[in-house]
Amino acid sequence: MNKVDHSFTIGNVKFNNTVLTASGTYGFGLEFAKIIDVSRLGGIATKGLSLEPKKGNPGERIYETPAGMLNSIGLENPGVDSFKKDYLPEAAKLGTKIIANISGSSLEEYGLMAESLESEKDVAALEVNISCPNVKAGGMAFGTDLKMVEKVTEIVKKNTTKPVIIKLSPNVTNIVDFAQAAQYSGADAVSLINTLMGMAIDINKRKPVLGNVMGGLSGPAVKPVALRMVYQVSQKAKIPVIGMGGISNPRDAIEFLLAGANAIMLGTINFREPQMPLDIIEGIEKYCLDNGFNSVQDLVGLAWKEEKHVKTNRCT
Amino acid sequence: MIILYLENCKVTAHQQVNETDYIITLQTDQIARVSEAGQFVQVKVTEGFEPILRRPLSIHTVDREKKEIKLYYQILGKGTEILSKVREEEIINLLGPLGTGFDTALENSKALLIGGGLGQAPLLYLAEELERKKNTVFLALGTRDEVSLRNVVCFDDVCQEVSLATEDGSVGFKGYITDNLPEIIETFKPERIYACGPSPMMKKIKEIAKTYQIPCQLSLETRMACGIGVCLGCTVKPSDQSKPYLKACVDGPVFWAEEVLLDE
Repeated sequence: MNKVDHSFTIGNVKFNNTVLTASGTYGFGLEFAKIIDVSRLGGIATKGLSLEPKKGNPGERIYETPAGMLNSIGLENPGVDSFKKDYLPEAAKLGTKIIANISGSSLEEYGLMAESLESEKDVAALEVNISCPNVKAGGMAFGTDLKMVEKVTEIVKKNTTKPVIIKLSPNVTNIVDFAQAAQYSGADAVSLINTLMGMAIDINKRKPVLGNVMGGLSGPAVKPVALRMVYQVSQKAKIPVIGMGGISNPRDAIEFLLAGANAIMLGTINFREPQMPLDIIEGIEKYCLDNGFNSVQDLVGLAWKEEKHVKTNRCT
Repeated sequence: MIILYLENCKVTAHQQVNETDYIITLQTDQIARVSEAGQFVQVKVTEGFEPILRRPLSIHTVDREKKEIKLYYQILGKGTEILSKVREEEIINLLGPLGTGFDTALENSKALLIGGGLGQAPLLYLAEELERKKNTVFLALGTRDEVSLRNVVCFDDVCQEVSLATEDGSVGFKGYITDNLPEIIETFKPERIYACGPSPMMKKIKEIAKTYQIPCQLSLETRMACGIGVCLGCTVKPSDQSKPYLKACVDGPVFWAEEVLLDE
């Protein structure tokens, strides 16, 4: 159906489309399959998995903000064993690639989860969550410490042959350093950004709205920040970059590709426009056809590549 | 398999009930065909990003022949404010039907429906379904004042009796409907209770239903993002604390009273 090549590759795994859905916003894909044809997606990053089941945070978990939302779900999930037994067999039938998003509260747990998923042929890749702002132990603590990013990447790589994607936190001084740390430690790709830490206060109760006080901000409000980070990281990284953060329409998605993302993930917009991933796939197709690109990958990084090109011309 | 529908629906009527409440009628081929009492739809109220999320609104009633659904809502924030300005003939996008509705596997029985304020929204469709199944339906409705009761005439055809309470005493019993509930129960002797309203009312009804040993279903309201069970935002505490949180959007919004632990 598509005239344009939408595929991209991470490690030895080829994904059929550059449009994927982001962890925590798509469950295991089963619910959205009741609304749209999810087989057209490049892949689905699962709800963040932990070694043991997690109940998540008590109290209010979500709050709407201008052009965005805060969440503090706290990684509620059935645990990796239940995922393998109860969800993966169904998710595998959806006809798209399943990326298992894993989250540990210790280095050892990251290793154990990678090992536990190694034999699952229906898991195409691992996305390592080192940047969840909503859990006390682990999560972002790993993602904001360069040494820990290296150690987590190494232990996951040691325990899997699947491509490893490190999901980066934007809550750091220089995200490029973290992308490079992941790359040097063997990561096959980086994905960014996770949510930005934020909060809201109920002025009648005079207390924070969210049960967990702070939460992660997502949605169109964070898009310029995410785009800037993708632009910075992709110029330094020698591994594929998956961009995300507030992408809400085909235009946003194309901006991320031009900024240097090899693929994009959609999150908050799924809650509002379940058909948007498919609209974006079509929008990218049209953009490529209208502008004479045969492959989506030809768009990647043009926002900075052209700039360098101009500079080169001036020098010579 | 596609079983939830994203539909562009034409507004065929939009009626203001009182200062804050509205009933919007929408033409929908699929959602009207498959909706059950107690389910809800996610309404996209704006092309802009404020609010970013859809509004979850109860299905008030369904006309399968005319392929129409009605939603009863109240202006509670920006989203419903925008919705209230939508005119007839305009198109609105709905996702639905969503959630687990009321258990209507009941025949030739006596059912008591209790609504508090906006809680009357999902009860009309329920009353119609129960009446169709040859049950005797009794409605107890409590609101702040007389103007909040203006839609109650809709229930007349399907309810054998309607008992009203207003906080200001302008109509019916003066006070909360729950204050009058023991008397209503003793008079009517219902075999099933269904209720929808604010949390303190739900808690009270749960206690009273337990005292009288009447099976009771509660339609609960929480903040909600996706409406389909993926974001895990709309938690409800299960009675069995060792179990995972229930999700209002898929496990509910209607729960058996004993399934859930209610806070104030």
